Amino acid sequence: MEVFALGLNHKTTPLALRERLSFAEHDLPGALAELRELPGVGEGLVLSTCNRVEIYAGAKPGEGPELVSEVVDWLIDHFEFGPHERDAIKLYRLQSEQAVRHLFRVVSGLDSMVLGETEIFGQVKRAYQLAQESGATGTALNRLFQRAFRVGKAIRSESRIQHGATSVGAVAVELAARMFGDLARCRVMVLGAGEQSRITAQSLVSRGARQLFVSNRSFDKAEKLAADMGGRAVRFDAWEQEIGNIDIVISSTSAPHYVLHPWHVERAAKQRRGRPLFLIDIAVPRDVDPAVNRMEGVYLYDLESLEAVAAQGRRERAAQMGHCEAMIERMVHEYLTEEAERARRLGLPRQTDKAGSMTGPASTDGKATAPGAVLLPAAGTVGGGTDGRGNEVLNPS
Amino acid sequence: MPTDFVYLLGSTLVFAGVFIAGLRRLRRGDAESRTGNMIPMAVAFGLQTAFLYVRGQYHGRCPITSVLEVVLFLCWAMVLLYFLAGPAFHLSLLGWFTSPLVAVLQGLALFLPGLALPGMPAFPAVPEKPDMGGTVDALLETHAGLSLIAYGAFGLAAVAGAMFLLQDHLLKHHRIRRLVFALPSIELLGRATGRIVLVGWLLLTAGLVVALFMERTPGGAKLGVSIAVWVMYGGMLLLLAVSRLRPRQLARAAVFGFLLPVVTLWLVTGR
Repeated sequence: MEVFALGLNHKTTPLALRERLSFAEHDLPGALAELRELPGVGEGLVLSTCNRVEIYAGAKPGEGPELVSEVVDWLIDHFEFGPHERDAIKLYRLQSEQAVRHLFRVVSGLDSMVLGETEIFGQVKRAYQLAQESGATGTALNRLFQRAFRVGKAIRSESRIQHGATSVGAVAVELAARMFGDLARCRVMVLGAGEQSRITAQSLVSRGARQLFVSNRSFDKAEKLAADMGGRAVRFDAWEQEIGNIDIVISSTSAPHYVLHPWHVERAAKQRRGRPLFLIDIAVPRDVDPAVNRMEGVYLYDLESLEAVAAQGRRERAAQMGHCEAMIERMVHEYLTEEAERARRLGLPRQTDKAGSMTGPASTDGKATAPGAVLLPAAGTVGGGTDGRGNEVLNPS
Repeated sequence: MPTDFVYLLGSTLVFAGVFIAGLRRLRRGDAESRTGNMIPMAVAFGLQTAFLYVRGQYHGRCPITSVLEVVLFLCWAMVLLYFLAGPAFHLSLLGWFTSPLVAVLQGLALFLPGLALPGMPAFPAVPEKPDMGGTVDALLETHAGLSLIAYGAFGLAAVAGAMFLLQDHLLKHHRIRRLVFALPSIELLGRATGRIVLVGWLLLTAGLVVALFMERTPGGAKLGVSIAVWVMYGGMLLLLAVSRLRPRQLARAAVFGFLLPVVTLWLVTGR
């Protein structure tokens, strides 16, 4: 059985189109059943996340190119796209080694929008579980995905690709953990009910912070955000009285002057009994007087300093790419060698040889999603030469 | 080369190695590895114990007869307490921070002349049969042992305090590097420092209470130093209890306060 993959992701397709092509989880069993009914598809799996839709399938060696066209047509029809939209969809099509390499990179977070993110590992696992429960996977996909999970774990443990925070919210969470350890006992106050406050507070809540207070000039907005996040709304003229019990303040009001001054913290010092106070000022202009950072036990971070830490995290992850790609190459080689040996032992037909077997992916930013592969519009044909848009189309071997 | 010297040298080198290996792991980004510290620390602790055992055999009593031995006993107590307090506070990195202090103290004890008892070689030959001729004063041994373990706790509190000050400095000045993520949280470090000081103070109190029952109470200077140390750490705890000492002040007090027991070690040495 030969494995191939086709799909689109955040690099190849804009969000407006991606959101129309995504599968809801409850639709997946039906979709997998349809996929399995296509002639030649022995096994199938659908991975659908907010950043990618990918179909992995197993076919008899040599049947891949025809099969891919079948699957593309099915995908387009499944989402009821018209002829013009059909042209706009750019799918990458990968076979054998390229498909294996691509999956290993995906599961390791190397193909993600946020490099090294861990959520994708769980999403692939869930997609695999659903496909297994639907009876859509067989030996080829089972062996491939189980190996992919081992690769993902190896990348996570043997590199630093998943270390370091890369967004303002994640940095806030990491720093809070360095101040308080367990966030479950932390009380968080949000001043100003803007979107960035919500995102940052959500990050803290997702890491265990339970007691949330929201204060805003418009009490209605405070109540709404508090209700959304399971917190309590506080009138804007009353937040100062609460600060003695608060551990983390996220401030993003639209006030043109400082809202939080050193005397607010001084007044609450006795009540705080030496507990640290983490002030996250994401307002522009700033809400918190920088002088508070000179006070003992107070740690003030504004948007610029948080963004600097996030940028450092992104640089550190990017610096790990070479190491991770080398690991992936080694593990792809190991996997293919083992599979070839297994096929020889069982007297199975050989899989189509590696690169150049089919069309491959490229990205909207010009970077190939998998090395040595190019992009093909959905309406293009699988074969040699170039497609209608001048994209290179690799010959099947 | 005398056996006890070999044990001491080996232990000192392992502690130095723990620190250097920890620095390397930090550069690689896995400084928080527990086993990375625990196993070599256990080896070094075993060598310290072997040194004290050989010395105990030589003297036929608790080996705290010279500054060298007292320093070793103090370092041994610090490492022992690290093994007890480290897991309790999830402070595996405390071992890494303790190792350079222990390596330096032991290094000084190894190579500074004059730390042995006057008229006695630094590493005397150990007799085949211990000298059990003299009587062992159990109360004196208990008093000295408890007091030195208390000093070990104060040493460990100084290390935890130093870790607090470092983490506080890095977070305050936005120097967010790997060490920040390897170090425990500010809150945990503050709490651990206070509790380790409390443990040390309780042990010292017990040591002083035992001294009250001794036939021959310790000399004036020795008792004066012990009481001064007891009052200093007791004062810290009192201020902490009434919220007049903030975590950073406590950390500073634990670091600089440890200088008093260290610089007066020779006064509490010997019978």
